[in-house]
Amino acid sequence: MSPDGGSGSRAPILAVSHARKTYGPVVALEGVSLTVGEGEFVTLLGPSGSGKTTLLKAIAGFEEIDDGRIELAGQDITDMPPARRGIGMVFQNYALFPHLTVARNIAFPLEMRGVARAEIDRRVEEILRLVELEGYGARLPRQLSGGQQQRVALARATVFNPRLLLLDEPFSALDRKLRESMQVELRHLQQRLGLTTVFVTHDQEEALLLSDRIAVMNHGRIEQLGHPAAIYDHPASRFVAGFVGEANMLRGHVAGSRGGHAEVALDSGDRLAVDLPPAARGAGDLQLVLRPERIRWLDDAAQADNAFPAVLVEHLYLGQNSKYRVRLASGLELTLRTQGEGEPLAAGTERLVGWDARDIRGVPCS
Amino acid sequence: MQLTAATAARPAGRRVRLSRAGRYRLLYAALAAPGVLLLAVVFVYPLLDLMRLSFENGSLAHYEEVVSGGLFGTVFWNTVRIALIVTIACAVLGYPVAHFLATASRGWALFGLLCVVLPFWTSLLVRTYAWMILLGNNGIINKLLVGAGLVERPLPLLHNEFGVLVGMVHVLLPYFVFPVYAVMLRVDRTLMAAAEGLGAPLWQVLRRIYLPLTLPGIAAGGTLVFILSLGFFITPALLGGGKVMMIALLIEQQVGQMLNWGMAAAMCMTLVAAILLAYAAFKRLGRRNAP
Ligand SMILES: Nc1ncnc2c1ncn2[C@@H]1O[C@H](COP(=O)(O)OP(=O)(O)OP(=O)(O)O)[C@@H](O)[C@H]1O
Ligand SMILES: [Mg+2]
Repeated sequence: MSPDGGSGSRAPILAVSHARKTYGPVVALEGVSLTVGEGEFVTLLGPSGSGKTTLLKAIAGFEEIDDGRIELAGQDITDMPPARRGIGMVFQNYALFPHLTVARNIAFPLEMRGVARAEIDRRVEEILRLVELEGYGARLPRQLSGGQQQRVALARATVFNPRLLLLDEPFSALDRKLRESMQVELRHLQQRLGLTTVFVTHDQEEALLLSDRIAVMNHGRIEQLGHPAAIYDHPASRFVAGFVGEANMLRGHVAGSRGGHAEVALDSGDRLAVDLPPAARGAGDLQLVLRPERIRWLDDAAQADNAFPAVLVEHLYLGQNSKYRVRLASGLELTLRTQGEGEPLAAGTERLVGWDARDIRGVPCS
Repeated sequence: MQLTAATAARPAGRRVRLSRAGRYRLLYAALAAPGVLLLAVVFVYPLLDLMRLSFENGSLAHYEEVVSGGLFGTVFWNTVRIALIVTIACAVLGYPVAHFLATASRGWALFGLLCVVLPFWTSLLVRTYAWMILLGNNGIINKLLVGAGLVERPLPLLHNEFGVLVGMVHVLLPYFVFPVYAVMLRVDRTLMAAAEGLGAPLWQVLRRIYLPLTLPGIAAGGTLVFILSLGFFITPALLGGGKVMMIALLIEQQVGQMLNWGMAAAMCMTLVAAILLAYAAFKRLGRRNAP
């Protein structure tokens, strides 16, 4: 596996290289490069204003990039008009044609391609069945619920077998339950049709659930590109660590070694055993990421490489899991997460907490 | 508990006071009353009076004359034809203008709006005289053409149908532009992007998406222009130089020269009927295609 968890053995369908886009003084994209393999599901994940929509529009051809190059199936499409790119796109507000029925909406891309009437009818029927909207063909978009409109938009963007499917936060307007079922449906449809997909979201759970690979974007750049597990377990920057999942961020420097591990002195004064890659050992300042679910309650300091007495600050019960805030003797506060209901602990309770040297990750300081 | 309270309170409530909605309706009626009254006095009453005049002595004689008389028929259809040409010309010229206004950047949109609105605010008479200065045999256009050697004799631009059409289109263009502009502002731009992304070339985006979505505006603007054209007076009178006959001119002739009030009234009523018919037709068009 390449470091970015590259498209691997799959032939690249989409290749964006060094794309740059500015709106006046605002730099929306700053040298973005991305390849997407055939049948792959890649998610652009990032906070508001990070350039996700801009990148998607550039790929679809609705925005021209100032610099860089976009290739689709080996062909340079940087200057090709959107109509000729053969890319299906689902817009955040669906963009269904309000004056056309569901069937006519879905037929639109086929009509534009000069497909014969009988063939159009057959394919519209087929895709309506696939998105479970049989019998809805004669309705107008406004006569459908949000979730149904969403499925029509998906059907319209896929019915012409696009070379690439783009989705811009398609589920953000749906309630949680519907969103979850649509996520599953999308994934099934995508795998069944073998659609190469670029998906945009700012919901990290959605990204982790759906994607083959995730591109975490910030300030018009891709900060990290990789498999969901790699993004979560090996964040490449402080930003990625904080944006994808929860993290305790610790700062310190290497102060020696302890039992085969590096010993790091935190700014708070605590000393930790940390597994550091050899390259990082000599470095000065270090940024460390400790996931809340990696911290455990201990009965005995020998149960973990790092053990500290701590005082409970607060306990949050979250249904499937419990979150605790604890304070170490040095004053350092940590968040700890356990599966299940967790022990009902009163604030002020003193307990031993700990984690192993391999549970903690170093990311480049910034 | 709330239910029982409501039931108990209802008989008392019904007796003394109007519902909230009822009170508002009363207020709105009171506010609208002066306007309605004014319209009744200056418009409905004269109209009813005209109707009475047209049925002089309770006979349909004037109408028979209007329908059978060759002159009215000719002028009527001429008027309808001119109104149609003006409407189509306004649509062809006005649609792109409205689109420009609806999509241009703020500065350009403001400039464009001013260009459309300024003449609109200028007196109709002034504008019509301005066209006479431009189009006349010794007008600016003909002087330039002759001066440049492009034509030997001045082109007949004034005192004919061409002059009337130019003047009417110019005066009526804003009436088409504004309703279309208003509708265009509300059209979601991503729909056009979506259509393009789905493989539609620009003319298909226009034909399949933009035109149908803006049709209510076209119908509204078209209705206004067509109906105003049917009754147009000053512009055809001045720019037509008495050679282009339209209904309003004919009616004025009946009143001013023939003193035939009954005849004029019958013509008026026929014109009003034609206008109502045109209105109904456009309305249907707009509704059937409304998104
Ligand atoms: N048409 C535009 N004109 C000017 N600036 C723009 C335009 N479109 C986007 N921007 C700017 O470019 C940057 C990236 O915007 P973009 O829409 O790509 O963000 P995003 O990641 O999609 O955010 P969100 O999650 O809020 O949709 C932002 O700073 C935004 O203000
Ligand atoms: Mg966006």
